[in-house]
Amino acid sequence: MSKIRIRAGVLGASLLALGQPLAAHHSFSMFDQTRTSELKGVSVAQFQWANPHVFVVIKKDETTYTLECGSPSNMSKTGWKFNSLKPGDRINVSFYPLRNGKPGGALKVATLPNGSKLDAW
Amino acid sequence: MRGEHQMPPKGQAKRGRTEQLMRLGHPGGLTFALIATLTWVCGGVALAAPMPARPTAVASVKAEPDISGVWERYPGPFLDDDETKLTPPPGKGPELKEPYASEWRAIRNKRQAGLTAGTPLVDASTRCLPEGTPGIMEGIYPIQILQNPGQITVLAELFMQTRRIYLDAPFPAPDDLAPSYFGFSSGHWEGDMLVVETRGVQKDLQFYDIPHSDAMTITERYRLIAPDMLRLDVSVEDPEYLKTPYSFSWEYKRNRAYRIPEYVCDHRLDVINSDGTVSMGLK
Repeated sequence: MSKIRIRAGVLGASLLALGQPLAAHHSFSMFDQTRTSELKGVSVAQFQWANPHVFVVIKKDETTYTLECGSPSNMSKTGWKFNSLKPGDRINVSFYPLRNGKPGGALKVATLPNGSKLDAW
Repeated sequence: MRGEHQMPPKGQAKRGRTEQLMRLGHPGGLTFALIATLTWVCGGVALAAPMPARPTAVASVKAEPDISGVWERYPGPFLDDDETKLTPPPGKGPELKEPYASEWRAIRNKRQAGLTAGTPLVDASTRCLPEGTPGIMEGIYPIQILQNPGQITVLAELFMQTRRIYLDAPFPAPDDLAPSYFGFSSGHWEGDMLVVETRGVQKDLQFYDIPHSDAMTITERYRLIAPDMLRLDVSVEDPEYLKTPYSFSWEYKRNRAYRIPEYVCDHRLDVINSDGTVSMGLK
């Protein structure tokens, strides 16, 4: 069984659920938790709000990045809503990159057009 | 337990709900309750006095504990956030017989190697298959317990699983007990404790990769340890695979505010590769 463990930061913002793993159905060991990548002013191409993982697809120049998040329940606890992002939004993101070097990772923080920051992991 | 059929679960005398209620610490039982009530009512009429505000013997019959509601593991599961470390099974882990012990260690080592390399191996969870028994009770995501006459139902957020526990139900004959993810669960109350016995879990459902035989019996004991705290003690017996019963415990906190959302395993990004590893698919 490979499961994601809860993060202390997520717990701190929890009002409803006390402790859920970020994701449960596959390991996040494919992401490099020792490094953080940042992209600024990227365009949202897709925002998928569903179990087992919320994910965000962004475009930077000609490259498409896929960023995986936790479950909708976990995301809700830190202020995310199903309509927090929409295609065309310009956002900044920080994420744990994929260890295999491909354009993707696990989203950590998204800075929205209005300047608010949403923690994803 | 093999070969036993149409028999009540271990340690349980077949009994009805009324009998069970009357059994709970009230030696006088129904007869006493009726006599006490009739005496009280008739006496009140004869004396034409105001009815005293006191509980009747019937009202003092104890109901089963209320374990219904949404429950979350407490403290939360998997507090270690190092994604390159394999999650160990609960408790001290199983004491498997050989060669199963060596085979199990080999599988676990292979999984650990995959995590270390960033190439996790596929498992049932990645395939969005049910956790079955006892995995559903691990409560990775919240679970909801429903109490109805004759049945207790466990609904899990993860994969929208449903587990049915039939109360005071005899086990089906072996030929009628087709192996399944959750097996057949029969429960009964022993005072304030709900005891559930499960057999018939399919062999390819392996909790933390632990192999088992058709003879595996899982016994669960549930009891409230505080108004909103539930404790579960699990004991897994399998004379073919285990040297000793494998025991572990989980505790849960009731959450009266949380509403479980749906969990349909669509929109998956992960890709299961031909070598059994899992990687993230890119859009």
